[in-house]
Amino acid sequence: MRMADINELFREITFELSKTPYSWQKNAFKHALDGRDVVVSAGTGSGKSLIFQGLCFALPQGVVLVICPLKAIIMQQVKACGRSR
Amino acid sequence: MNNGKVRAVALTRETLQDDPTLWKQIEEMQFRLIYATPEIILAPSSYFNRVILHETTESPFLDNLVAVALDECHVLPAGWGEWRPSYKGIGRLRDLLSKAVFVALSATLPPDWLRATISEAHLRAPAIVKQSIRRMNIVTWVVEIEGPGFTDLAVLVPQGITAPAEIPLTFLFVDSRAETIAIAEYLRELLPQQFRAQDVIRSYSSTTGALTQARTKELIDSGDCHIVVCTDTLGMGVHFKRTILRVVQWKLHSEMHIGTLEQRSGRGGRDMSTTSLTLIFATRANLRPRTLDSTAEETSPDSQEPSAGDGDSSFAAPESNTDPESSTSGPIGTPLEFNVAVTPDNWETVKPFLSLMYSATPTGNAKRRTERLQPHLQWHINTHGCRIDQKMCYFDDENKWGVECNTGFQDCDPCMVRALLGSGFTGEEPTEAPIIHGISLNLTCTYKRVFGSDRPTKSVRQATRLTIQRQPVEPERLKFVENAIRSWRENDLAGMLQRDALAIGPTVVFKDEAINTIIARYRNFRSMEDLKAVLQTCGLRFPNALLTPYLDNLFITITLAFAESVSILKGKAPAQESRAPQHHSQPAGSTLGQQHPPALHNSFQPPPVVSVPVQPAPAPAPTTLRNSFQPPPAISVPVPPTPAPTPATRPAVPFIPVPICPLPDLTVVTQKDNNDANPDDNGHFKIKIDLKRIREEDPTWFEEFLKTRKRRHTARTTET
Repeated sequence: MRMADINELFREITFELSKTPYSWQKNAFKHALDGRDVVVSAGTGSGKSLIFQGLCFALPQGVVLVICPLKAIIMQQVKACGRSR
Repeated sequence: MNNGKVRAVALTRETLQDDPTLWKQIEEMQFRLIYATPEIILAPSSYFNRVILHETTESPFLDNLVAVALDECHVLPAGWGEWRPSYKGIGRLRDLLSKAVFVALSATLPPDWLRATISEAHLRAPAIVKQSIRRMNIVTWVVEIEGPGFTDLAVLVPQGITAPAEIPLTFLFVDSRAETIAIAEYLRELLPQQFRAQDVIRSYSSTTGALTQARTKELIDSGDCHIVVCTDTLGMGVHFKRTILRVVQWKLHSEMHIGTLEQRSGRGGRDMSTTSLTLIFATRANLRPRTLDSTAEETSPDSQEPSAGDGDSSFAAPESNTDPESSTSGPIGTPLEFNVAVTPDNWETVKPFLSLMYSATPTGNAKRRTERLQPHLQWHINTHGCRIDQKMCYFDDENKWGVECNTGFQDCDPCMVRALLGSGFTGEEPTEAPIIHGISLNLTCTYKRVFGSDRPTKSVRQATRLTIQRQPVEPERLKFVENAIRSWRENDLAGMLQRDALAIGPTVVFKDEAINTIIARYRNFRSMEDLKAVLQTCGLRFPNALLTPYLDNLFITITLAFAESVSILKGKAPAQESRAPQHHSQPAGSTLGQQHPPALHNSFQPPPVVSVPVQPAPAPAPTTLRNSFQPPPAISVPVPPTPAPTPATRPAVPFIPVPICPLPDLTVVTQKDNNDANPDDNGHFKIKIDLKRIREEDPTWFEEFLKTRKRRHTARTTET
């Protein structure tokens, strides 16, 4: 299966999430699409979660698994995604 | 997300219990974002680990898995003891999922934590994407603890408040669960009686029940709760609707990392337009001058004479801080003094010491906590230069030298004091110190170091303490507490003894005499240490006493019972009401007034006001100078009855389970392959435990385990 190229991914993110990635986020996406692991160190509220949310669109049916230590954060994020379970 | 096009699901133990088909739905590709706790994914017995990874041959889910994100990945290195067990196996997961990319994210990754995260999660030559984490709206102050007990925290509650809203929303971090309750209780006593309902000040820790935790969050969001006394449970990630204005760290210890402090401090000021204050309370031992040797171990020069650059002299000429000539740091080979400022000028000299600091690893052993701080934290609180610059240097941040820091914005006490000094410093104290969210700069250790070398002598402090007379606690309340303790002994203690296979009655372990002593000397204790001291007077010896493992639980029970006992005095309320407010309405009055200039009292302002630093006024009277260095008013107010709406009957004492490691009957297979868990002939899983590894990873658990096993063994042999 072919990964989306970087421009396709940005288009998809802008369309689906109505967000335009910042340059550092684009940078992270680029590395991830190249198949490299990425470590992101950025302040709270700066848009770290866009990185894993956006990576879903790298494949037409792409899935991202997020491992997060705190249930409270998980619930908050899922709620923000519009569908709480 | 918008349009609901990306469906997300939360996998936690609870959601899976509610809807066991979640995994099926995921395998059928109904979701694109799957949030899960580490246990759900990594536990050897989890569905993901057993079925999806190892049994399923064709999994559309695994085929389409683009990435695995490790959110808040600093918990890997930061909470060695606490979090590591649940992340065990993360490295193996990375090796198994060779097609997916792994993305690790955190707000606080200093180089040492970064390295640890990469190695722990087996990340493959990761790309590092870094954004500056410097926050311009957080001010950090360090305050030395001077008073006994929690009296220094009294500044958090403005004197003579007329509404709870006057208390800025404060998160107070404490590293002991028992202390959260005791501190909350102490602060509550400082409130005028009518606000003493439990909601204004709440405690929060991992042992607080889920319902109470949820209630606290609600109360914070609704604006009813103003001070939360919490352990690290609230230390990251969770967003609140209201802006946290003050973050307080009560005491530091050897196991604490500056990254943890940064996480906590980052709770504040999420709304970038508001200034948030981080207040670090450090003990005198923490603040003692120390040096870091580049070759040998750190030294603590107790007897060493203070060097030329030490003490007040560095502020006599403010410029000297940026002058490399007078900087106390030498080339590598000479020790680094922790009071040295980090500046662009001495950066090259100081840099080698940072790599030394990165190599230090925490032991993660909560029992080994001492007051000897890790070098980076020691430096943070000891430095005479900008604390934030120092922290950013440690984090290797892009924005090491705050661009605005020297041009008007000051984000720490040394910077603010330097601004206060201005150029024409004459050695006199300014008439007015900046106040942020009700806390005055003149409490900080830098202010005191520069403007007043005369710390209050012991006798002054004792005198202050003597003049405050605590009113005796009403006998009804004591009776209530006594009953609670007895009920704890009959039920909880008896249960715990039974569980631990101790064939001794609770009345032997915890004698009537001990209960009487506790009641008689109730006012003498505020912490676990005090409780121990009181119990020692009636013959119990710690840690040998059989009661030792249950002390934590007992302490919480007593504190809770005492807090609850307020409600039983409902009927008596009017008679006593007149006394309590009177106590509050004498801020400048007889006993304390002498030591507090009015400036201190008027200084409490409504939350978001930051007063601008002022130039020193010409020559204030020397007497004012002296008097304003008193410790925060050590006011103690008797606990008068609250007209609480609760019924007069004794409410059920909420039992807070203190995790005394759960020890099911395990078949222990030591030292063998611990990766696979295969069912035996009966289909049961035999749990294999690698004791050696556990001993390394969680010594506390291991100790408990050994103890209990020994106890069980003795119990069994006596039975036979």
